[in-house]
Order: sequence, then C-alpha cells, then structure tokens
Amino acid sequence: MSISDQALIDRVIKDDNHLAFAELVKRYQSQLRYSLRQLTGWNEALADDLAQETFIKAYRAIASFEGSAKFSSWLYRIAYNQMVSHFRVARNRELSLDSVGNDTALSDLNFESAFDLSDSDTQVSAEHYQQFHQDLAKAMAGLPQNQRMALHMHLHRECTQQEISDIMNIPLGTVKTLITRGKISLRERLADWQTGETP
Amino acid sequence: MSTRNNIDPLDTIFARARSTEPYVVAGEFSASVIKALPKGRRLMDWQDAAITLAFTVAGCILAYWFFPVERLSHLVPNQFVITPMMLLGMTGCVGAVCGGAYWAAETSKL
Repeated sequence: MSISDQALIDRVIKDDNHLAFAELVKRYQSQLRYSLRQLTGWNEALADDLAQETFIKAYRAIASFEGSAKFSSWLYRIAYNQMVSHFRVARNRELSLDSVGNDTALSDLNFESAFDLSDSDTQVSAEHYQQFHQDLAKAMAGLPQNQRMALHMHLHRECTQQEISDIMNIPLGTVKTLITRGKISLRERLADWQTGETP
Repeated sequence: MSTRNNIDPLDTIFARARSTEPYVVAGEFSASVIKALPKGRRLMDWQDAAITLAFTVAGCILAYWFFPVERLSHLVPNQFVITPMMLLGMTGCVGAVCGGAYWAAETSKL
C-alpha cells in the first residue's frame, strides 16, 4: 500500500524529509513534464527547466499547502506561474513562444492517428504517437498562453472549470471564455486539415 | 465517415492524447531536483516568528540603552510646511521608486 500524498507532505514539513519529497517528485514528474511540453510547443529543455523550478518552489512553500486542493493542482498552479513569469521575461527579450507555432506549418502536423479509431495501439508505433503528441503541442503553441493552459487542463487533464479557475487564479467566467475561444482558435488552426485541403 | 462529422475533432484528438500519453522517464530529472533542494532544516512558522520577536525585543532593549532617544527627540520639528515644490519632489520620488520596482519585477526571473 502506497503512502498518501498528504502523509508524504507531512513528513517533508515535519522532518524536512528529502526522501518523502523525492517520492512526490517521482509521482508527479511525468505528468507535469508532459503538460509543460504541451504548453511550451514541445520544448523539452524548457519544459524540464520549468518543471525543476516548480518542484523546488513547491518544496520551499510546501508548508503553505493547505490540503484543500489536490497536490497536483497546487503543483500546476506553481508551474503556471513559473511559465507566465518565464514568458514575460522572454517577451521582454523578444523571444516569444508564438514563433514556435508560426514556424510550424499546419500541413506538417499529423493528427491522422487520432481519428483512426479502428487502429489498435499495437498497430501504431511508439514513434508515431510521439510525433502525434509533438504535433499537438505545436498546434497548441499558436494559442495565447492562458488559452493554451485552460484548454490543456480542460481537455487533456479533464480538470473542472473551478479547478482551472483556482490553478490559474482567474474568475470562473474567464475560464469559460478562455476554453470557448481556445477551442474556436484550435479548430480554426486545424480547419484546413479537417476539410482535407491539406494533404 | 459519418461518425467523424458528429464528433468534435478536438474531443477525439485529446481523447487519443490522453490514452496514449507517454510516461516521461524520470532518469536524471528526479536526482537533479533533489540535488537542487535547499539544504538545512526549515523552521516552522512559529519558530520563525519566535526568533524574529526575540531579536526585535533584544534590538529594542539595546536601542533604549545606547541610543540617545531623548536628545534626538528634541531635534524633531514640532511643525513643518509642505510647499508645492516639496510635494512635487515627493511625488517624483515615489513615482521613480514605483517605476523602478515595476521594472525590476518585469525583468526579474523570480
């Protein structure tokens, strides 16, 4: 039986137990790093840097974790703030992520596997799926970062709108707007592919 | 093809993304996070507050004994006049400090 997140958090707070924190890192590193890759246009180095900073900040502030929300939501909140802060600095240096999305032609993206529901997983190679996840990240990169975050948390992580509101620290109405506009924007980006105009 | 028209393509794409999400191997990542954690025991909130309070009290006692409070209190003016130029200068200083703080916040990586 595995120890609960709260028990591990208590050990970190009480005993400064690095092993307990290492277990928390082990539990959440994959989904956090994957999410950050999706949110950074599949920039693995940047995503891992942001994830590392997120865990370090989480460790420093873990005493302030109240336990009313899920630990993962709390982590995502820190990660989102890290990402916003990073891109604010990058914007000042004119290194916008938007260039990632704009540089990628939509015709180069491949979402075939998403619609080939008859395909069994064994028939499609791991490399094929890897490419699919990268293409999805590149398609998302064309959206503003708040839309990207709201859409990813809603459609991929299946968070409720209230959870997203708490994570992004924005009103519930704004979350609804971001999701609606994000879906429209993403559909428009994929419209050429959907209508079969691109090969 | 008929099913394709009825299903939101985004739902289909994200459903496939969820079901095929790769496990990102921890590798060196976890080790590098643990290595970067601050060393040393972290103080509890009450311990932090108690130490701050103790040093504040000690500082006040030292200040009371060594600082010529009474002599300096006579130097404080009983009244002063704020001129328009002084007000303008103060506004300028506050504006400069706020501008500097905003610039620091925008350029800081924190």
